[in-house]
Amino acid sequence: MKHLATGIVSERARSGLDHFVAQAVKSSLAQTGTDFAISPTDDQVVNDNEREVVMLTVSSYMFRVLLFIHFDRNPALRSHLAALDGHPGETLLDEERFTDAMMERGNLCCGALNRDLAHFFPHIGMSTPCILKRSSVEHVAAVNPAFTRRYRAEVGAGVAMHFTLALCAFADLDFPFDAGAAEEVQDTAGELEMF
Amino acid sequence: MEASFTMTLSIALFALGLVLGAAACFWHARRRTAHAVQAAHRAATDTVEKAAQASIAELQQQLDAQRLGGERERAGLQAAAHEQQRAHEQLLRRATGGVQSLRSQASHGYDQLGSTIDKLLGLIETFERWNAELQQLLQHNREMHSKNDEFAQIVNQVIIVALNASIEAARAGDQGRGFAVVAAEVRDLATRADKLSKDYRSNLYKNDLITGATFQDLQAGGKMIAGALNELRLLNGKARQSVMAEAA
Repeated sequence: MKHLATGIVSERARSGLDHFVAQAVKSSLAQTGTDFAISPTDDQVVNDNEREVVMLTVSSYMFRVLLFIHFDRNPALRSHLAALDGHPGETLLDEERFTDAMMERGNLCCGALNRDLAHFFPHIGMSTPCILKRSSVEHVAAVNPAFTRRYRAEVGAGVAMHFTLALCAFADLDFPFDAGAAEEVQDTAGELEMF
Repeated sequence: MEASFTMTLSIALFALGLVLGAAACFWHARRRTAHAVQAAHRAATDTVEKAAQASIAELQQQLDAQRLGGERERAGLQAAAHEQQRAHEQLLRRATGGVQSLRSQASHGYDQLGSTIDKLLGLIETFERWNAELQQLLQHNREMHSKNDEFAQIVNQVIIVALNASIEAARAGDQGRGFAVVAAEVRDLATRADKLSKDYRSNLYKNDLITGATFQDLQAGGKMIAGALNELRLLNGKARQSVMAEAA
């Protein structure tokens, strides 16, 4: 299989993506009022319990970003999603409702990422979500990414989730992400603990 | 005495005569002078009158000449002004016609562009179709996963059966030797089938990822195009409005 040309992703762009993912996860999956923390994690570490992923894509003519949200259909996450949907104390036992909630949260997460990237790339678009088995993500090299990163986030009390980001760059990628200004905003917000 | 009186009277009369004569002479001289002055005055008046009349006639002539010149000039200027006005009116008509034509052409162009953009925006329906096709493909892959899992279970069963057959063949001793060979062959085939099944499963997962990522890229790319088209439609509408307002 012939791969498309891969560009170089600048350090500044990588930092920007890290920041955008953190913001997106926080806004879409973190419980308000609880401590939120996210950090890159070792690529080799895989949580065997998280057997599925929600996959989403943000595309431009210069790049595409694939975001995989790993999840497990465990009671903690079911309760967490119910609480996020405004039903604290409940548990999403119905599989279809749980799947819909997971897709909806994935959509929100990718939407936030899309909005942040749109500040630098006006012409981008976002896909609808789909669910895959986690084993598929192990083949992410098949899409020839220029940059991949795994993250671990504490999204609620005792609820941790993993995320995989894969960036396919069809040209050299850089954008003027201001890490200093972003950190300042985080400090002001006082909640986001990043790296 | 009388002689003296007479003499005195004579002298007085003589003196009176002298006075009267002098007075007459003065009056006469004065009258002549007055006549002369009058005559001179008349002559001077006549001269001045004639000179004035000559000047007036000359001025009148100059005035007439100037009036004629002025009238000619005015007529010329009027003609030039009319000509200029006509030229301006022609230009205005031409410009108005040009603006109308431009406006009409621009309006037509904007309408055509708007119509093309609207038609292109119909591709959003294509995204829906792609999404449905992606779901169909993923469902198809899930069925293949399921069949492969079933196949893997069968292979595992065959391995166990082959193992049992090998054990039974060993128990049978020499009589079971041929059977042991067959059992070993079956186990070898099952092991190869198991490996193949695992590879196949892995490839199915890889296929899920490539298929899903490709479809999502198409979807997202399509939305990017739709977004650009919407922006283009907005700009087209604004440009149409401003051109129409400018031409109005």
